[in-house]
Amino acid sequence: MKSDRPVVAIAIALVAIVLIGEAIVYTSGSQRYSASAEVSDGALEYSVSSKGTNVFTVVATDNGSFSAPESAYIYFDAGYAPNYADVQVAVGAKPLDQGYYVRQLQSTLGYRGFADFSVMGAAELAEAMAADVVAGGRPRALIAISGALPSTIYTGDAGDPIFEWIRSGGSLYWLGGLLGAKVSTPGGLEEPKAGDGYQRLFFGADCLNEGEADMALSAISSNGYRDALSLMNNRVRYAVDASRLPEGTKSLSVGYEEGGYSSITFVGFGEGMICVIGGDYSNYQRADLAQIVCSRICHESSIVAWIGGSVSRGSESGRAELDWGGGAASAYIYIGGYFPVYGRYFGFEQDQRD
Amino acid sequence: MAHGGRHGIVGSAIGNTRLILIAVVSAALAIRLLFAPTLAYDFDIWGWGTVIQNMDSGNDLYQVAGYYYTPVWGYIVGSMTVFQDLMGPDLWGVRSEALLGMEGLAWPYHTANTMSTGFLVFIKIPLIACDMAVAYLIHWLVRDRTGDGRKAVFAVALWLMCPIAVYMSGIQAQFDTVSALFMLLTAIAFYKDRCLLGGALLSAAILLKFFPFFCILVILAYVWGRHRRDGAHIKKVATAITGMAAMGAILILPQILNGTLMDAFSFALARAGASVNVLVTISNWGGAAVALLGMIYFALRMARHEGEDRDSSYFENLLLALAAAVFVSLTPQYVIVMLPLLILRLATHERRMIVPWALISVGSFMNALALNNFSLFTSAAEFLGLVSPEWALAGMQSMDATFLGVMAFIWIAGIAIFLECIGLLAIFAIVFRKAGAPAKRPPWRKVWRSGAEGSDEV
Repeated sequence: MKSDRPVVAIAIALVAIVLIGEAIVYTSGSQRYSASAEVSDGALEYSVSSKGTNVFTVVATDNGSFSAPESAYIYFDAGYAPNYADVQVAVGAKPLDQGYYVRQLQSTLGYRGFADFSVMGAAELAEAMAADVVAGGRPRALIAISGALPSTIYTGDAGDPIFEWIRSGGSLYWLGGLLGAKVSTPGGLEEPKAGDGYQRLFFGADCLNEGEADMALSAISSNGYRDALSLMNNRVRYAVDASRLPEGTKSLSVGYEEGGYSSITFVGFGEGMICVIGGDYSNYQRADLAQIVCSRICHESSIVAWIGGSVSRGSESGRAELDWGGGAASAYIYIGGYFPVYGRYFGFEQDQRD
Repeated sequence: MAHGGRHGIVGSAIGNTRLILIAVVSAALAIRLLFAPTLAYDFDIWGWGTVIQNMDSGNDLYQVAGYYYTPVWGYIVGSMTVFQDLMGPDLWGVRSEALLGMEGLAWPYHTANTMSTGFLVFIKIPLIACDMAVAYLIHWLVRDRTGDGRKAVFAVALWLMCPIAVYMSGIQAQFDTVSALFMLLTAIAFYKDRCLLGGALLSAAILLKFFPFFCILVILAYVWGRHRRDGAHIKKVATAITGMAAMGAILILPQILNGTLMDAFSFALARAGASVNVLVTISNWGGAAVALLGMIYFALRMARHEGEDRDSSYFENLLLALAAAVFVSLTPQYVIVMLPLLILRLATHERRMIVPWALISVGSFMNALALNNFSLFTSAAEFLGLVSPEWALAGMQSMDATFLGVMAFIWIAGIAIFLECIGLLAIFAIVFRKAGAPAKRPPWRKVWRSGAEGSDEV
């Protein structure tokens, strides 16, 4: 009989690895990272720190005349009929329904630096939007992934609260279905009052992808945001073809493109903005939604510069002389590349850049 | 050294088992280290990146989508991140525009996200280390069982050169080699009468990948029968169960506390349940039934064992229980958990087991190649430039070509699964044929009768 000490040693080592890993898994978090940015004499000065080894990206953006939202409503009301398609998920994964999507989105927004949001039902949302319109002040975002807006804010009439709210400076982030095609009520889905003309209420033209075309095979390289923000969702079902928007409409398409439809399109609407993200529910889509909300890019955005780097168990800082243009300047710093683990947004006042 | 005189230096070298062992291990390492940075299965290895992303962003294993297994592999990845923190890689992967077309393939488990060479190596080095640890344990166990160094080296070679073992740790980066390591450690711990440690290891093995669950009854029957005579059987079984319960509680405590316990078992439940089509669903449920019946039958077979060589029967019944369990899903990597026990049987008792070893390892390897085919080259295309992304994509698309209405990769996978099935059935055939005619009484009657008569061979 041989001594089994070597075997016991292997077993103990393996169990120790498992238990140490368990402690790491449940104590790790985005507190491992930090970032800061400021503008001094027109130059962007940034600093990124990490307790691990990561790539980081600094995206400096000129948002033109648009005021980025500081807080968000996330619409979710289990009592109102949704209009999204079920999707296949990996073996063992939870069904990606609206509730699970919203729960995950909250977490994703949180660690990427957008912490001021509240989840609201249909009635509460209508009250909040009405109050926003009356109060004015800081612009807000509405994230709706239900595939159909609730009847409390949208019925298919040009005078609906949703239009008034966006026009006054709100930002609608939309996905899950054709925007405006259905009205969600507690009793089910209804047709909008505008009938087939629902798209014109939002965009002034029929520009949404109503067909089956879904997968985009090419990236939009003209503005650089796909690479700068590590965008992943290449689906264009329900998406906008910006070329069909009325002349003079400000818009920005980022991500991936197929047949004129873009995976993400921002369209100006009064003082506010509508952002449509294409495709049925997916984790890539959720990642992109979080990334664009957290970076606050909009229909007037253009990249001033994006800087990639690497940080390992310490800090990295840099300074870049930038030509900001005349619009609202901002920087979004995120760590992890296509696997973001941390993000922070920095908005700069006009006098900081001069 | 007996061969040395007849065949000179070469013969002497062949006769030197230590030299052969070094050569085998070196060759096995070289093959794995050659593949590790170059070839990878996109979907799985991207998933491991997502797991690390989730934990680094404060979402542990189950708060957001990305990790679907029971928690132990996630914990191991958590430990691995210590090295990633220290040494990198900093860049884990990118989304390749040139490869987007692969997300439209018939086999849905592909992604155009390709992982960096550094990340491939980071994930695979621990798996390769596990391969080596399993090799060591196989060597140790065969030596312990037979005292024959040559048999031990032969067994090590069968493990390290097994195509599916090389593939899973060196290429695909699935953690079934860790599963094999835990299973083997569990088996040895009970064999060495270390019931507390064995119970703890068994719990960890089950919470890594669920197949060892089907060995619980065989193990308890072995411990019970072994200590029946000295009267310690209840204490020993209780000790084993205590070890299991304690380790199980420690491992799933976080999920109990944060309400994600069911998420931790979603993959295991999904594997045995519904799937992409009715045929696979029936196959999964049927497989689960075979596994459960096997679990009970082989435990009874263990319990009724009479004779001196109880330990041989123990290892044999563990092998049979695992072979039945693998029918839950004939996914290529799952056979790895039983390979060390198959090799043990082959090296110590039954050379004819070379037939199932060959059929299973080649069949599962073929199956993996059929499903993943040219996608294995995507990292090599994106980060090393060894091939072009267009070449890899064209190769993948060619596997969707149909013959008699069935896609090429399904033809190959089907043939591969057939070989794998024949191999699994051959294990049972060899064991039961050697045992002679089937028992005149079914094993449960034997147990009942023995128990009634107060026999100590229950």
